[in-house]
Amino acid sequence: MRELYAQPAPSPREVVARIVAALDPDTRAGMSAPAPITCLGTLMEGAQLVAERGLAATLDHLGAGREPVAVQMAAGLHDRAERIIADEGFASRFGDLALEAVGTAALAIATLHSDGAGIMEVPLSVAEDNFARFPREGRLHDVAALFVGHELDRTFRHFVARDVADFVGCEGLPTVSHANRLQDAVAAHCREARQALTLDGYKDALAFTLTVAPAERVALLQPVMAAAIDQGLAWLGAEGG
Amino acid sequence: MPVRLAVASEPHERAGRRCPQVGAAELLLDWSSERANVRVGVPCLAEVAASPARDAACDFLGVAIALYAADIAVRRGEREAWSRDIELTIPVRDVQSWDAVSTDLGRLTHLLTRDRIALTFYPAAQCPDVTHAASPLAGSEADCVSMLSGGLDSLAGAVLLQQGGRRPAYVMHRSGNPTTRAAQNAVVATIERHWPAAGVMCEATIAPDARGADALPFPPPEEREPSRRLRSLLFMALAAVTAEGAGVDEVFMCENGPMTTGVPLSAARAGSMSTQSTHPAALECFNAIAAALGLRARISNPFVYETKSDLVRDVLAPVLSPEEIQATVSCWAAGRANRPCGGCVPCLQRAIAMAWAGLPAEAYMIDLLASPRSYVGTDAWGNLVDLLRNARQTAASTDLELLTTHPGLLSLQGPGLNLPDVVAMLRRNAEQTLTVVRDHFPEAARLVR
Repeated sequence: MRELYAQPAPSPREVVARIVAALDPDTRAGMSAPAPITCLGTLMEGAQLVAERGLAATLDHLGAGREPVAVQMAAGLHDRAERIIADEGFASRFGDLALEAVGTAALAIATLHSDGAGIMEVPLSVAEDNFARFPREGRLHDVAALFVGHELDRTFRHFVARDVADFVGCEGLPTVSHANRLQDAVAAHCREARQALTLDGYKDALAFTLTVAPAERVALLQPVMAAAIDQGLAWLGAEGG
Repeated sequence: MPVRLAVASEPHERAGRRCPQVGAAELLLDWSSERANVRVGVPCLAEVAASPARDAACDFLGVAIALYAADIAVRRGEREAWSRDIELTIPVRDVQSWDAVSTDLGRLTHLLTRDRIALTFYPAAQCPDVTHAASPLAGSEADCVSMLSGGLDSLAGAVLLQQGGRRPAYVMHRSGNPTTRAAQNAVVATIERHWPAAGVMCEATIAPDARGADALPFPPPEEREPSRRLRSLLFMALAAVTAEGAGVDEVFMCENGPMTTGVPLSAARAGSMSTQSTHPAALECFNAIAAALGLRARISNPFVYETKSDLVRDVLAPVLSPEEIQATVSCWAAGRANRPCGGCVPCLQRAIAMAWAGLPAEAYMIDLLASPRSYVGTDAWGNLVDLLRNARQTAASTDLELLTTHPGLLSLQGPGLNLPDVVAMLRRNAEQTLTVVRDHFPEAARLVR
């Protein structure tokens, strides 16, 4: 697939589809290993806590500060997921990427409806509503879909970044800015995969996982995560069709 | 399957009977008997003996040595098999205290390595001896501890401390690598030349060494892991023990901001594929463990908001000669040739910092910045492209884009860093890189148009 990078204006969709076709079973399995699942569970738990206690109390619970609220919430969830992964011995390469995804997914949720406020200026009430609406409306599966989109984003950024350097300076990617734009387009395309995930059948199962301890959550969430990754990769493999 | 290692501090058969994990270990580590496969020489323990935290300090050192040796002994896999599974069993004087901090220690090793490292502590019948005959701390009036590596940033820390009238005890982990050792000697000579007798040098030697006739086996150099992510934990432990011996609290671990933040140059280098050795979360975790064990050391990094170019131009160049500055070492491949490689990330960052400060260009094995196209397809080319991509993206990004590109920045909130100031520092670093490339290296500049 590397030859795609050498072509004029390489297509991000085609690049992603070719990478999907080349994935081996171990790599696919790694994307729904205990560390990425822990990250998903932590993000959903964060939304649930905001719905139950409010954002200020959730930030206190996470040991995070108050301002800027969107960044603090994302940082608090990132740190909680990282601690669970360390405590439970779940570390993996895909865990590193999923830890990044829990941060970016949390930022995306916090700023979902922010009336144009910058990331540093999102008011607490707005971020609170953005998180709380998912569990209140019974849409934890949408949190799962959003997270998986971000996990695919981080994973495919990783794959592209590993190979693209050799082609910078060629016709397809004459400068580093072209390489950056390609990678950003790949990432955006991967995040769109959330639209193709049909996880509403797991609604009750997802809610139930939040009633058990994080380590026990892994086994319960594994089928959901595996299904979501399979669906996402299938959509990306078909170039988003 | 995890690789099982254990430290044996008494006849191994006896240790194995008392602790089954020792008997089951695939690799034994020893630095206290005639079968030693790790060479250890640590000064300052004579003073530590008088401290109420003596046992904790000696145990901390033993735990750090064991982790360092294990980190070297177990190779990482390729690509997605980067994370390792290690079980390490260590004798300590106070098992209860170590069990109490094992969660924090597990987090610290995870922050630094992203491995799965399971630690087991067992009561030591006789703990490994880490004493050293001569102690440079005897009679000294040190008022702080500063870690000295032989590189630019820790030398900048020394300059600031000396100019501020401080009396540091410098801790140095002596390298067996002749090039690094020469740089360490030069740094010591520079400090003594400018500030005679103003500091104390505490030099420790800790290295795998299985050359003894009865030595236990240890993987030969070509089979060892080169990433050495736990070296910084050993360095921190050495500094903490020295602080205990000197009776001081303040410990400085000086590293520039971009390196400290652990921000990867590319998405392919996320996690511990980029060094996290001075990450504020790691320092915070280390300090929490030290406090829980009753040790006085509190490590901080004064350069979190400074770039390497800032340090060379604003701290080193006004005080030291270009020769003194350039006698330091940065290269990851130091010692493999008679010059720095010129293609690793630290060599590139160093070359940019020297140019930014208006210092003479140094000689490298390859002149990557001047003629990059000659190295397409090599690791060096990949390093340059990633460095330039990162600079270009950082310079052009909004706050949200920067956080989205580098979500690892979020982990700086917990230890209390000011994120807007970190972002400003990263942007300044990017601008310094792009400016130097545009002004000095036209071939490389074509890649960032």
